Amino acid sequence: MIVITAVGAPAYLGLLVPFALSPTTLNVGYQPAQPVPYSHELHVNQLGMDCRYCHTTVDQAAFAAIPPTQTCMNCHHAIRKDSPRLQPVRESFQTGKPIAWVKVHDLPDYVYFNHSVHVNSGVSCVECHGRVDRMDEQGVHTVQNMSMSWCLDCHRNPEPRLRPRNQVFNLAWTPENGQTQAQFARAQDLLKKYDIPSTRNLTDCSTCHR
Amino acid sequence: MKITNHKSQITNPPTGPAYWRSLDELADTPDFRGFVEKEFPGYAPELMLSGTRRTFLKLMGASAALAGLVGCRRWPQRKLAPYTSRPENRTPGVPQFYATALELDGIAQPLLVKAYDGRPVKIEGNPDHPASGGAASLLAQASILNLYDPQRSRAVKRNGTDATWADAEAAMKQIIADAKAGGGAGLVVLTEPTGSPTVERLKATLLKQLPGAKWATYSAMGAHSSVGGARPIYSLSEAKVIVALDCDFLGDHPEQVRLMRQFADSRRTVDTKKTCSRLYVAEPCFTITGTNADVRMAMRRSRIGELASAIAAKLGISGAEAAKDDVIAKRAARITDDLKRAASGGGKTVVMAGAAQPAAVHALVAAINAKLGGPVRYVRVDESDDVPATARTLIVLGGNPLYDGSPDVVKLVESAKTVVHLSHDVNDTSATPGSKTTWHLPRAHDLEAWGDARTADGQVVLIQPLIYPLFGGRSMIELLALLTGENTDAHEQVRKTFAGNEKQWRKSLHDGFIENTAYAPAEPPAFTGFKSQITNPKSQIELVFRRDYKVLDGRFANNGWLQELPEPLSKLTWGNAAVIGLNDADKLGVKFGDVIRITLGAASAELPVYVLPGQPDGSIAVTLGYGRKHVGHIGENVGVDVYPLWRAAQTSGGGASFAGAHIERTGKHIKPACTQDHFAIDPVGQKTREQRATHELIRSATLDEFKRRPDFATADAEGEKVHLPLAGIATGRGGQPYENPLDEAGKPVDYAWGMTIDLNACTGCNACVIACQSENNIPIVGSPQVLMNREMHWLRIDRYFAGDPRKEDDVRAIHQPMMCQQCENAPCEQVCPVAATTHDTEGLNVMVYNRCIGTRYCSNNCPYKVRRFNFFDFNSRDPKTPGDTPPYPGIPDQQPLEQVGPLARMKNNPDVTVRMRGVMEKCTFCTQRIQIAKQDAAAAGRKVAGDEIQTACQQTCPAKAISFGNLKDSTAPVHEQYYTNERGYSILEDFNTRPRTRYLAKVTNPTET
Repeated sequence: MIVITAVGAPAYLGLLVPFALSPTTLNVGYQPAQPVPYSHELHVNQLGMDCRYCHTTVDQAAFAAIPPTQTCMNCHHAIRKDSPRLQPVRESFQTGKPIAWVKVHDLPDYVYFNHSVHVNSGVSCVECHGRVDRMDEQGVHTVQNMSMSWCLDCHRNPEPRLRPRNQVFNLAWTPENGQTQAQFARAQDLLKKYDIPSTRNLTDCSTCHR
Repeated sequence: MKITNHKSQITNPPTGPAYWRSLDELADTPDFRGFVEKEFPGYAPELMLSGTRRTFLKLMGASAALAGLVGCRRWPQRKLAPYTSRPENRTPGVPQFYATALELDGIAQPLLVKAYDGRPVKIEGNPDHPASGGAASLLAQASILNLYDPQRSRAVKRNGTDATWADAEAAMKQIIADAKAGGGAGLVVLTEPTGSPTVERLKATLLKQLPGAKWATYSAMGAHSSVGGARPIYSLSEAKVIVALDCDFLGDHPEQVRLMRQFADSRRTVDTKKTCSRLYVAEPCFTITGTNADVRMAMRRSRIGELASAIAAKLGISGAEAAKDDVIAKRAARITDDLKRAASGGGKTVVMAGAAQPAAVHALVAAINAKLGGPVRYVRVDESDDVPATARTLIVLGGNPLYDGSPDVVKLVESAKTVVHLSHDVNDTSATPGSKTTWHLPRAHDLEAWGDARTADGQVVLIQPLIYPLFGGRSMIELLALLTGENTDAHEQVRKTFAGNEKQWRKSLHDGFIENTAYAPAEPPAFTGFKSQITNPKSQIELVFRRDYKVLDGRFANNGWLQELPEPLSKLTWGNAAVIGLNDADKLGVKFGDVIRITLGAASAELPVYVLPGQPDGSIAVTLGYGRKHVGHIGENVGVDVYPLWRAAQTSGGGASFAGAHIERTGKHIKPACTQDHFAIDPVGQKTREQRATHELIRSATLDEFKRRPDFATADAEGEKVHLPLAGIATGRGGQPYENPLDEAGKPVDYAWGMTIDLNACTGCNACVIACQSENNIPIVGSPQVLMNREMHWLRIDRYFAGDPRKEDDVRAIHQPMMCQQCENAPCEQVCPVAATTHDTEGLNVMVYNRCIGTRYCSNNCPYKVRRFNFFDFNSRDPKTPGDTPPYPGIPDQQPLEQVGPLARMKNNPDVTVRMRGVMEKCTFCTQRIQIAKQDAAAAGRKVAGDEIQTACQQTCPAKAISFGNLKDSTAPVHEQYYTNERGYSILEDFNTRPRTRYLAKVTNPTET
């Protein structure tokens, strides 16, 4: 028993500590292969499409809907309609079977996140999802660890993450005159303008857990 | 202000009688002490882990090491499957509501059903319909579980083996062709009662095609109180005196929801007008209605007619026989005097008779109401079908006649060569053995098919499907259309019955009902005279048969929510019992749990005894609907079937009651899963237990006392406050004994959620318990776990008795819904070592499941005993697992989600976390509804209105006993009730827990005796 403990404990710690602290464990950079090599870079950055063209419910509901195949086919019935890479899309449209996208940003079931509340309070997509408009056909990857403490960073001090509502979907936006986001939000009094609850209210357990 | 201590409260109680939960409490038995002192009596974890200290340390060390590794695991990859083409008006994850209905006893309950992404999850009442007003009965709400019942019928069966619908269609065509050859002779269609106009139309078509065929309707021990096609429609809102003669209109009644709301309205006037209705109940067993009576007269069922007749005679109705003995005469005089007094003063009076009473009693009641001008009208319903003696081919639409049919119905089924049975599950009738050809056809749930139905007064309500049939079931309409050779599309059929144009159709679909479709009025049943025949001699014990509040006639036997729901009076779960009075129990020499054998001719049943104070002497009540042989896993071996006794009683000329049964002790004893002593609140603590005072928990007064002392709930006879005053949360601290940490200066919050429960309105019907279970994903645990005090209901209804248990008329009962009181100064929060239960800024005592480590300290420190602990993963665990199965180590009690089965998961509300084993849970004031309302309000740029949010229990309460809202909004109804209502009190105020839930004390209105 003593031998096992003597050998086992350092080995266990040696394994556990690096593993627990590695970025993979914290989910940063997680980039699963998707059934269709969709490029946000092409559609958003080069073609200038708005996030809401596909994620239509992001400013109305808790869930930012993944677009139905119909949305893809709106254009792709004419554009690159024979591309082999779009085969799964055409197949889905013909058979009525959904494309099984792999969920990249997956919060635990006991966390109730609402997209619309954040978006309408002037929190841009980029704050959590990063520069999705720069993510290419390799797929979307996570840029934040999405741990509870990370959520709380902002719920305790929202100002550095706020921007004007009309710039929420402009991922490249920065304040003018070299202001930081926090300075800008304070100067514009965004907390009051967007009726953002007090930090005490924002850090209530019941805000996210039910 | 003087704060009196417990001692003075007890010597000088505020008012009202002492209440007790059970005979055990009254006698203060060691069993009951166990329940009061320990939350989980008999629970000794050290016994389960039978190893040494060394083993324990090893196990703990291993789990600690493994726990670290488990934390490193990335959870399983999940897929997102969007629509290929999203339907119009659908936002993923946002619920939609559809108006529909559920038909029971041929009477529809208008409903509003909530569906997430095409998946119905919660049934509520249709707020736009006067028969519902937003409320739904507990059976209607629980019927969602039947939709997702894993043991539902999934395939067509021919003689018990699987077949296809194509086979069935061919067979049906053959049956019709054969019948046509003989003009329809020998073909009988036997249905459950239904008011559906489309079924009516198809029935006419079928009988036109086959003039020799017969159509019969049957219902097991129906709750219909119509006589000769005239159905009474009562109106209670304005009533001054209500007399219910064996009529359980607040319990087992097709119009329960509407009548309960109106009855509650007639009681609510105590605050505004200092007056309220008076309810007389004469009944042969304690019912929900009986518990709400101001004057309850316990009497044998066979004598109710005499009472009705004596009342009629005293009112001068000719043909009515006057009372023959003193007891009846005294009771009749008391009721009649009051009826006359009320009627002469211009007040409305209503006399009601129950379905179990013979036609003559209904005619008597009609004559009394006509004489006094009671608000009762009659509508004409079609009930002319008689049950034929034999059939060659029998088509049974719904029901389970071989289990619950009367003797002539059973004979009819047995005489048939071919039986076709359309049914939700493979039950006794589908599984008919022998030389018969039997077809079992899976029936679509009401949430799966188009249809229509009628409310009690005949208004047509539409049934629209929310989901495609899960197992290819078909509705009654679809089968009838198949038989008549018409279009089998139920939508087409219902649309065809509907007369209006497309625009009117769409409006009716949206509203859920069609205007101006009520039944034609009918003449009340004619009274031709009444002569009592004492068929049940006093020396013989009378058997009283009734349908169960939970499984009804047995159709809900496989519904786990209902099986585990404590019965309102006996608090029994998972089974039935023979309910007997204390005097008779002593005479027989039996006590709770002793098994007796009831023999009636060739039929006999062995049932455990339940001693219920208030049961009339010389009478035993049994409930039907249990002990089904062909039933799913949940209903297997639950309770005892007493239908054979009922049938034997019917054959021997009895009705819903019978005397002459032979009753004997068997010497056996079982332990029924009864919750009456579970979570018993200890108001005084161990030291003063011998002076227990439940005046603390239940406060009540008569109307006269209330007029004299409006502050009876909080002050003693000298006007001295016996409890701490309510601390004003909206007004600030102002010298309160306890400073609320939430009232931080300069940081006001918009909302302070609070609730009031009006004990004067609450009838104890249990609808809220099921609403809570459905809304909050509360699992069932099974009877072995219930016996260990582990039921999970967040909201329970405590039932207390008062009076002398040996005097049948003296016993009264009262119901008190009890859930987390959301204390501002919560004892649970102070003992949680990991801060898993904390306060939020709006005053909710929140429970964070993912932080809870399951120490159960909080539960131990909760004086209200409202916290529930998941001893197992009850969502995946089989509720039939025996109780002595050791939980650990070695026995896996954790199952991957995949093993729970997709069907069982479909009922879950996605807005509420499904809890795993090892965490504590409790009522949250429906925090999910609060959060969603706040988010909706924020999106619209406004604040949440004071009464905008309805908790699940409040939403469904037919009596509107629960108010909820923002206490900071002085316009919200809850604000008045919480702060200024004279009857308001908090439970265990002396502990300074400052609950955000207040109760409004009960006011009864008995006559002077």
